[in-house]
Amino acid sequence: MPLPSVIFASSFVPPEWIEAHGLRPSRVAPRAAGAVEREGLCPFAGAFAAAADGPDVAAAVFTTTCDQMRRAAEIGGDGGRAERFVMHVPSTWQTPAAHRLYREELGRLGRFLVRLGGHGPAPGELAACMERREAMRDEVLARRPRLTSRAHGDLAMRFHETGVLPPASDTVPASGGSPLMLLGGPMRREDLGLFDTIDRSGGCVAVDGTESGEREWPRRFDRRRMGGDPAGELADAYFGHIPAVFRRPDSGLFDWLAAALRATPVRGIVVVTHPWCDAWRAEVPRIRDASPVPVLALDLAGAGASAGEGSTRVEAFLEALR
Amino acid sequence: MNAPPRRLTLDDWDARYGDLRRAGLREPSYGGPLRRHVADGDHRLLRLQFDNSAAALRLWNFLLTEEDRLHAARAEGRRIVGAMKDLGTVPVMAYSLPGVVAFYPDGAWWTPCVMEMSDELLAVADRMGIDETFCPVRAMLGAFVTRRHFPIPDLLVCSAGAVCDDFSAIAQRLNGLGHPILWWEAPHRSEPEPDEEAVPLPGGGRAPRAQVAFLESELRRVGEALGRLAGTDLDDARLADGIQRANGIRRRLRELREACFTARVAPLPALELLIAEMLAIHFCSDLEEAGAVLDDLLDEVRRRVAAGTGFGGADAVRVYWVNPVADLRMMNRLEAAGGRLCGTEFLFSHALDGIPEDVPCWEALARAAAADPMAGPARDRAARIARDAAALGAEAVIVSRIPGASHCATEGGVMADAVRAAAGIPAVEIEVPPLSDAVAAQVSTRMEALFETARARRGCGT
Repeated sequence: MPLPSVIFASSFVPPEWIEAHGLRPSRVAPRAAGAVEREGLCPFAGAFAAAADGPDVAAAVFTTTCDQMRRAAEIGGDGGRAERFVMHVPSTWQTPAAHRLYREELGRLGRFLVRLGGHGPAPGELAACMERREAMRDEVLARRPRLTSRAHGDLAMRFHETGVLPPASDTVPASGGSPLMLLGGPMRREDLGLFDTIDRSGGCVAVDGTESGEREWPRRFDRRRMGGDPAGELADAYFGHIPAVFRRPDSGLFDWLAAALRATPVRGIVVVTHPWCDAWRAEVPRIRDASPVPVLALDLAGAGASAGEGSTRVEAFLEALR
Repeated sequence: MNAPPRRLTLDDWDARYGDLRRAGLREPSYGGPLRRHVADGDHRLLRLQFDNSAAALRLWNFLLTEEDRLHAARAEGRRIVGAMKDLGTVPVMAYSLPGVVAFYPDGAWWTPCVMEMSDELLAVADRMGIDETFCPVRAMLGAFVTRRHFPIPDLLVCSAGAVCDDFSAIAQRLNGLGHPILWWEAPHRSEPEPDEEAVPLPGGGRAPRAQVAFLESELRRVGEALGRLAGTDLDDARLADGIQRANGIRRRLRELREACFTARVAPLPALELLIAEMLAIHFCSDLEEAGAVLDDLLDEVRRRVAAGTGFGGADAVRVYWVNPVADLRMMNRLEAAGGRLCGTEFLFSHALDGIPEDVPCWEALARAAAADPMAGPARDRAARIARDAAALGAEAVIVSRIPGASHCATEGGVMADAVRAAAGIPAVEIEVPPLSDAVAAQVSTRMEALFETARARRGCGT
């Protein structure tokens, strides 16, 4: 019998932790189609709230990494089909207390998972999950040069959702266009059309700095610390190192941006934001100021006419970069 | 001097002020005719209707001279703390220390309304990319950039975590402009787990003890910074004394609210009650004077209740109002449509509840902070509103939607549904922009329809 699926959308929910508790983690890219829609509601939060009531979902983990997602846990209220868990991910990070709080929240999540039918991690189980996931993350990155942007986006999404990778023979030739960095909020399934647009317009995604991309992956695990305190190492690799926009202060995001641009030269940055996403929309001017390359701010309005307009803007941006 | 209650325009107030002076009105240093604030740019006063009492005059003058007070504090060498977002916690600590004044720069969100956009704070925010998709608190960014309002604080302290995204994002921009901020974590208030130790919170909720302990450690960290600013420690004795004094303000406000909400005829207009409640969060930059202002208001309200006089008549629809309004004129419109306030929840109920004085002071303050309605789920907030609305005999609930606010996309519906389900009271959501004149007819029609429904229910015994 397949394990019950625990879905989440935040990179601060370690799939290794859910897996080690005997449940199936799935970091979903929710569908725009069927999303909950309300005036002022972030489309991603609305899409995730709808996904939380999906047929194969045992529980959904919402995080406090943005206010809209925190509150989306209450959409459907007590009538929601699946169990909902709100995990507090501290915004502050410069104090030991914030790190301890994250670790305690992982503990609270673990007890929730046990109540859901899971079990506490057996000795070595968590470390084994960490090693396996890390190897797969390495593999996802290693395949980028051999894939189109869209194919790589699909691969990463599939990995996050299922925890497995298709054989490498599935590869599609890379486009080799003008290298771009994507930066911004999380991607819904339909938003991956942006990768197609970039491929078609003579570009390629060299760095995925969206919340769905590698910017929000944990740092590499320290094998020595993993042996002694795997949960502590897990917490530090995630909470201690992911440079997220909700962090206060968010200097880590800009440190990451500078380092990423040094490591991977790109011709331009496309910053994607969802309507009503305050965290990213407020940072666009600062990103422009900090970037040595041109920046295009793009609204992820979803399917339809606005998506067409977005495509035109990406095409024009890439044309200007040539 | 004690004339029967009446609504006055600003023109009316000119004459009334002369009468009061001739009758021997004694005013504090910030006193004077309301008209002079229009010369300072507060054009909205020309379109508001005011209570005619000397106590209300003092309240308005106290409110509208706050920036002068802050500049005077700076000139006198006092240290200024800009508390941000938590609405009611950090100022209790700040006012426990000698030579420290605290205020909320967040309060700039009313400036576009009061000055009828003449100061262009929203336009400045627009130019910085903080457009109308953000809540009107974006005016705060404009106020920091133009430096035409409050003095730039010596220390900025902002809560982060379970807060609204608008404020957090704007505060981060402020930080990016070179204003250092001391961030402290306000965790999402979670339901205690089975067998987990919980503590009661002011206002009736509860929280895991571990969360309250975490908050206590965060507040102690803020307290250390405040102590460094003041040049002296914020020790237990000082904080306990500060809590007692803050509780004095909260006690007066609870008494004022109860008198206003339960009287047969509303003894104070909704607008003045809203302004008075705002004194809870940072005492309008002068704790002692805030107490005196409230004492005057309480005296006036008691007199009116005893005389059975007030506003709107006994048949006005009893309305429970949720969320602060960006446009003060909405409070006038509520009454013009036939309603009166019988309860409010302006997002800072935790600043009105008494801070426990029977537990150690830091834990007491942490419990008060944990009770912040913004920190918990909307269903907690809704449950309290439904309970209070029913207890106060509310006939209708209005959830005032704040344009662009991250919490308003979902919580309004949760609260309105909860009130309907738990208390059987009709509820509507109404969005109120900083200047609501353009939507005034639509908003008034919605309120009138709600009140008609409420009146129709009177006859049905529901």
